[in-house]
Amino acid sequence: MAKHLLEVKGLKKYFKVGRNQILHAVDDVSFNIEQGKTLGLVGESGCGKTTVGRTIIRLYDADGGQVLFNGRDVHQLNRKEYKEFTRSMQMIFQDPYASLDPRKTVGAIVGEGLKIHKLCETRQEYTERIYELLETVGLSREHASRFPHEFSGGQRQRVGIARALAVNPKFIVCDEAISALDVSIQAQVINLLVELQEKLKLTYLFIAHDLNMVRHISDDTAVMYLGKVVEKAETSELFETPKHPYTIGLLAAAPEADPDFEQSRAKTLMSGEVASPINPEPICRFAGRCPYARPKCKQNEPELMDVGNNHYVACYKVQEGW
Amino acid sequence: MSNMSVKLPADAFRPVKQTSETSELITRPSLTFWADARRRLMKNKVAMLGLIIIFIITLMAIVVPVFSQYSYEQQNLSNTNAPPSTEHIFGTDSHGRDLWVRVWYGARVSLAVGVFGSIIPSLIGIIIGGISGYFGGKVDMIIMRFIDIVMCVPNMIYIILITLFIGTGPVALIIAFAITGWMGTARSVRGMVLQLKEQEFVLASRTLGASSLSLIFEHLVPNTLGIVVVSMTLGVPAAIFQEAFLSFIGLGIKPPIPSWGQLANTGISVFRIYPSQLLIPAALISMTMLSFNLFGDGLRDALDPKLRM
Amino acid sequence: MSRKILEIKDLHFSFDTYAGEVQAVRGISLYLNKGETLAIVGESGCGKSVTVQTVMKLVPTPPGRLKSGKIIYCGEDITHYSQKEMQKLRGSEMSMIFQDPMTSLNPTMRIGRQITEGILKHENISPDKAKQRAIEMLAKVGIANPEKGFKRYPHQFSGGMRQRVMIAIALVCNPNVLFADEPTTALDVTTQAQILELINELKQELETSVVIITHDLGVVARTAERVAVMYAGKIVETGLSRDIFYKPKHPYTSGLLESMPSAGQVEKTLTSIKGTPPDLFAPPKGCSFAPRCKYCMNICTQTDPDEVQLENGHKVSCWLMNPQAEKRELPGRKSRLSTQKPLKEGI
Repeated sequence: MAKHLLEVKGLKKYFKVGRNQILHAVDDVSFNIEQGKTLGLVGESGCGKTTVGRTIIRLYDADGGQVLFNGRDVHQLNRKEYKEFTRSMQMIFQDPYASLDPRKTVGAIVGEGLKIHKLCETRQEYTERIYELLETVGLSREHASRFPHEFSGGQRQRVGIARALAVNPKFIVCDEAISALDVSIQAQVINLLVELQEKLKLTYLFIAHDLNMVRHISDDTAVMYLGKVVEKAETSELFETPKHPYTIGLLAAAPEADPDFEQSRAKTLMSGEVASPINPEPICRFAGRCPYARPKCKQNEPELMDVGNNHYVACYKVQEGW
Repeated sequence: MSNMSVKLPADAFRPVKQTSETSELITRPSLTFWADARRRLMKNKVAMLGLIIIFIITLMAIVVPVFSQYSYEQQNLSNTNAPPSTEHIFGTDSHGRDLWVRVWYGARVSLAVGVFGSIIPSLIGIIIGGISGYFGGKVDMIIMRFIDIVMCVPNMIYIILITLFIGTGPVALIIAFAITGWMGTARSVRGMVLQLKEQEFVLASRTLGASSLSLIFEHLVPNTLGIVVVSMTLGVPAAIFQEAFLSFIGLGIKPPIPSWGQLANTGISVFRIYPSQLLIPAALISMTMLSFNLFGDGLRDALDPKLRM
Repeated sequence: MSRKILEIKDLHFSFDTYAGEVQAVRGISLYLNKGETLAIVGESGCGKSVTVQTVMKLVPTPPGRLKSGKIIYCGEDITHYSQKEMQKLRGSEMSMIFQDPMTSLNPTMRIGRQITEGILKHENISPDKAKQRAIEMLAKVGIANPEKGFKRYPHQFSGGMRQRVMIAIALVCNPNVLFADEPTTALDVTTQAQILELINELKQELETSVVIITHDLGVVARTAERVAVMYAGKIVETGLSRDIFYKPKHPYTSGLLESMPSAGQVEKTLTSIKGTPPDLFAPPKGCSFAPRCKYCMNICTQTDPDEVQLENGHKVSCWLMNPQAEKRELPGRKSRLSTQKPLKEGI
């Protein structure tokens, strides 16, 4: 059996938003990622996918569950162990404008990890390593002395990737790493990520709302809705035979760059909008928008279950075959 | 006419090899945050005028007492309350001391109290505000409630109490200002840090394993500096004014050491007969305050990130 | 031609900044037919929003500056209309909706008043009638219980609902032209689909012409009949949606289409366009796409190509179209209908 680099078990993260109001951002989420593979995590805004990423890397403390990296629980590490752990797991952020310190040169930003972990012995080695990292992501050494605001969005995102790579991580959380970029730049960044994965044997958690890109880059895909994983399968399986009504609706809603296909496509849309994740009732969270909902869906909460082919779905309709 | 129909040499249609240098080139001139701010400040004529006046006053304060033949405490009882003349440019006071020297020596005291009385409390405020905002939770609660309580009582009362306790003089005043003046800065730095610490670049540093101290002082505080520098600049005239006020009511600088407020205090007793003895220090106080305010205003505009183009 | 409701001729628009002139729009010509949907696609900073805002006169001048060009609306030259004259046009003749519905609604005013305000400004009717119209409009844009919605404040609505309210405000006076500037970029996929469908329905019902500005080629494919592709302040290619998607003639359009993964794609590497868009502060000499173009020729770095007319109003500005240049077959999208069984659809 393949070894799982990352195992997330029953992860929970709640935020207090007011008196007796608890936002269930992540509610009992479990998944595994094998070494060298990419898991895509899709969902609409507010479904908790970003919180999952941040809790895995312990920017947030979990309210329940475990995050096992190489078999060790990330949330049990002491300060020194955590610092060591940050060398194995890194993150690429969504907003290329907010994710680089505006007062620092690009060289200093990329070199921050090298300094923190004392990875270079001499000044010379440090600068050489920064140049090497910049060149790895397709920038040049001249860029090291410039400031972030002089760069375009795609270039900044590559600086962010170089910063993450500086400490030679094994695992990278890509939190909507391409959603803020222009179309032509998205492809550049995706190609870079794919190339780095092959070269450095990286493992990715790829969080995004763009279904096409997730389909392209991920080996497995998990769909989240209101803090829960509602469907999880191998990517081609999930996109070709989606089973959960939400996944089906999501795929139907995503427009494709294909006018003839768009014209012919049935215009039946998922109605309503995402409900509030504050104090949710223990029922199927999609029930309010689901056209197939039966009384059972509004009384109990379906569990994520294997319906064959390693295809996990949390839906009574699929599980019981209505 | 369309240039598509023009006959061109065949060479024109030879493919060009692309390099990454041409497609990744940054054509804009490189400008750091501070260089950009400086450029904008230089364009602001009013602010630059303020800066020039501050510069001249500072220069005079340094130079005049050194090169003058009189000293600030040298008395000449045979020539008291003299009107301005070539010998005594601003005249003399009731003890026959040369006012020209006393005014510029006083400028040293006033400026020193003003500048340090603004910078030192700001630095304290940055540190406390940075810590409070970064750690949040209980630490933040305690610091903020402490500030709330302390700020309930007017500043002047503390200052008067402190000067009564540790005596008068420039150093005592600066200490008094330092103890009472950090709270405003601490509050605003805390507010900015609270906002900044959720920014992705701070999160990125955290995931790189950066320690709290380096997060606060390498990422958070430098990004609040723009606003703090402005408030420091605008704090200088406030401190000068406080010093002048305290000296004027006899609680600040004591004679024979002059300061502008103290000179004004002396001047007022002879105002009806020798108005220049009050008017000169008063005018200098106003001019300095105005210059600092104009300059600080220009600085705020120059550092405002929303105005950056 | 009388079918053209709006026409822009050789528009140049610049911003004057400290460092010099930023040429945001560098000679744009386009037209809009009655009742059609035109999409303007391009990357951020290519000038697509500025073009539309210039037509609406929403760009503050200075720093903006209209250098040359003509804007013709219904046969009338509105290029040099004053703000006062434009106010009469805005809302009643042409309207605009923006990306972020929260910032474009007044948070302290009830939705109802924000809608009736427009009606009362442009039409001479009683407040009661205006209210009636507003409630009808709210129902039309799919706000459940419009009487209640009329009395609510913007923050009481979700993002998708707010965008619906914006559309109601924009369309309540039945304008001829609706400009939609990235109307769904801030929304979720499922909400986006609903809003696009709503715009489409209302367009047909009210016979409005729509200009949709977007960077998302999927949105273009779903909504537009005609497409104009912008790059660095110019339109590099324009034509019918199907021509642009399946038979692109400009390397930039082709590159954009190729850089999106298609459903059945096996290779892991996407074909991408190298480099970054030029800084309009100092646009490159010659064709602005030349530094990133894989077909770049000597001439491209020297002279900007003029537009070439192809069939069906398809126009391209590229030196590859010159009879002297080597013929290149530029890849476009392949329709899923021709290659694949249709996906199980609908819910």
